[in-house]
Amino acid sequence: MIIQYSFYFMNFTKKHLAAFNISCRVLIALVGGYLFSALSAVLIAQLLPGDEINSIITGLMLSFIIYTVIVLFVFATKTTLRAGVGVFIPCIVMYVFYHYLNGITA
Amino acid sequence: MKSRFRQSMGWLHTWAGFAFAWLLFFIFVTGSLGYFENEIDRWMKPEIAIVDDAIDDFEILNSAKQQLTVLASDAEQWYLAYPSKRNPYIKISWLQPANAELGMPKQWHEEYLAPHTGKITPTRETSGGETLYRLHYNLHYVPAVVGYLITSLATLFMLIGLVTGVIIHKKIFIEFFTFRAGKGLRAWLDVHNVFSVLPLPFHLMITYSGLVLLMGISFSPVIDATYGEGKKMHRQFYNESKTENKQQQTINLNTADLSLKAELSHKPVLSLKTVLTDAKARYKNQTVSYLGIIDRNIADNTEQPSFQVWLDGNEGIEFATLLSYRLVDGQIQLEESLGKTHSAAKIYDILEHLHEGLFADTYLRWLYFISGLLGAAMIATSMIIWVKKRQNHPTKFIILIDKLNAAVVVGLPIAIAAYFWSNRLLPLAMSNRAEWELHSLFIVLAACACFCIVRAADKVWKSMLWIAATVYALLPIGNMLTTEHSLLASVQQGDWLMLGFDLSMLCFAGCFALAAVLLKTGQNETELTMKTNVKKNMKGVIKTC
Amino acid sequence: MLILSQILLQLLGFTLLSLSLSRNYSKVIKSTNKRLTKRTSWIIRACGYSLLIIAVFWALNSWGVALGLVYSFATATLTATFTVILLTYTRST
Repeated sequence: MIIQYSFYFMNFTKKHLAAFNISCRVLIALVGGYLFSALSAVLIAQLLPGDEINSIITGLMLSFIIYTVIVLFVFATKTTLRAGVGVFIPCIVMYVFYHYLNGITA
Repeated sequence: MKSRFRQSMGWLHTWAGFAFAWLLFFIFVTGSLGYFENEIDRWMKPEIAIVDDAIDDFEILNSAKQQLTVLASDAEQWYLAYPSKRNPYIKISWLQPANAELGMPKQWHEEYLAPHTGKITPTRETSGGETLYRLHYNLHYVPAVVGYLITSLATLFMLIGLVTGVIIHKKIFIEFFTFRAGKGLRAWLDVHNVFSVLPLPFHLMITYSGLVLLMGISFSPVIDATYGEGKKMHRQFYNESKTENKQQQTINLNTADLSLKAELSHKPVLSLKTVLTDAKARYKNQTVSYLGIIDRNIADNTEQPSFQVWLDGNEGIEFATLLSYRLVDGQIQLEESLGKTHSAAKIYDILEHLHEGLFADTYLRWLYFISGLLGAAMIATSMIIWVKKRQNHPTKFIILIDKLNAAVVVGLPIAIAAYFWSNRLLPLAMSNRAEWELHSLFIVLAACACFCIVRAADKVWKSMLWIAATVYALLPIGNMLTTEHSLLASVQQGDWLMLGFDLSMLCFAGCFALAAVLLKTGQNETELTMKTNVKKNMKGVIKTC
Repeated sequence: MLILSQILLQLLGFTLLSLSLSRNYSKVIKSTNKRLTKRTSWIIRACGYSLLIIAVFWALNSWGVALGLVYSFATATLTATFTVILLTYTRST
């Protein structure tokens, strides 16, 4: 059953390749961008020296610039795959680094 | 995505803009109105008596105290607002604690006092200018948090639109003064550029500060991860980030009045009267804008009440300075705020003040308003361009979008006029009157949409413009018929806020009429039509305040 | 008074900047033998920019940094828009 559905899915996307690509990019930009900027904000907050409150506010304020840059990046790359990799791999790296910083074994 | 970077950014600019265009138009228009919320409030509460001659601060305090003692004896907080240039009335407000018997939640009440008698002036229940402008981030008919999230998302798309717009318009400054008033699509693009590039600092500032103002909600998981989860921890975070450096000193109250001195000789007594005397003596040339008591704590005398004096701000983009007087260990302590402790909070403050523009005088306020309307015009022209680019192969969908563009771009002003009309026409004794004013705004907006869908595509813009012109032109007449404020009476009484509002309505009516007259039915836009649409969106400047 | 001088300075500055482009120059200055040379263009442009910079610094001086920046940007929007509308939508007389 699963195999049948996946074949159907792949044929569908082959026929509507452009729409599929664009939808993927939109999802990567919006969802991936949010993850990326939120994780960056958390890391900025934890890595900046000094006052905790200052770092959190700074991280939050910078997150929007990061979000915009990520969205521009996602739509500027040549292939959708590059966009996805470029967003989600750093997300995973940041997530692992966050847990390392907070002493929880991943 | 496309073969070249600029083309990808062009694609992104078009579609990021398309996604939230109508909502962003709504946000820009209702937000821009917020810069004149006090003036709109004045018009929507015509019963309030204007204070036009200087009344002694203490006289006002006496009347206020009389009323508050009667009405708000068990309230936690009392506030008295002194007349100012933009709010020339005496207003008292108090925070009523929750009453379980009557089922009333903890809420604020406010009343206006007549200038010399000190009696309460009953005003109609209305949403006023404040709710109108709050629509731009609360939205309506959705819970507040949902409104914030949708607004944040739309603002993010706006920021992307702005940044991609700058990227694709490389030769931005060379083309600065060489726009062409030609025909067709090129002319519309040039108008769109005028509205985007010239107020660009404003657009970038308002968009970014708007995002920052809502960052606590849109990026609340960040606070969860770095500070703590849950409502309590978030509130603690906000309180901690807002802490201010305070200069505290123990003082003897400065009393200019000998009789007061005799009263105080035995032990220090804090009351609004003594606090006001002290503040005025200490800061001789500054105007007092508010007085307040917080932590009145009638129920349990655990904490001493704090008496607050707000002085009109005269420092850059700060709005006001706060002096707090409190009895601590039998001594009077004066606390003055020196600004936020955390430097990042200071930057947040700057962005907040720039966005809200509370510090702005008449000149800057009009420029804020006009820039906001230019932003709305930028969005309106972009929607029109989207349709025009596809006009050679019109499908049903594109025609529908064209009609709905008219419904939003002209329909929203009509709906706002309906909101003002409802303030005058709804019966005063109606229950939920304030809510129904807002309902009428949205009902008329929906009605405009229905009208536009039904109307023929080549007649829809013209009809809508004429309807808008009529509705706005009749507003001052409606004002005259339903209240005692006519244009003539406002001039005679020196009620500049009322007069300004009425004249602005006539001005908008004129712009809509001009646009309707010069708009040619047909597909080709001409130079003249360009001109009128520019005029329509510039919305005139009349110095009335 | 201060606001008026700010408006006038910036208006003059933006007018000069716009005149430094040949298209606008030929529209305003109507003689057939006086075409805009690169040198004249450069001079006009430099004067325009200097006036704008003077206006900004004057604003910063009169109102402080925060308020001064707000005043200069706001006035820039007003005057630049006015200049553009004037140039674009009036036919050369």
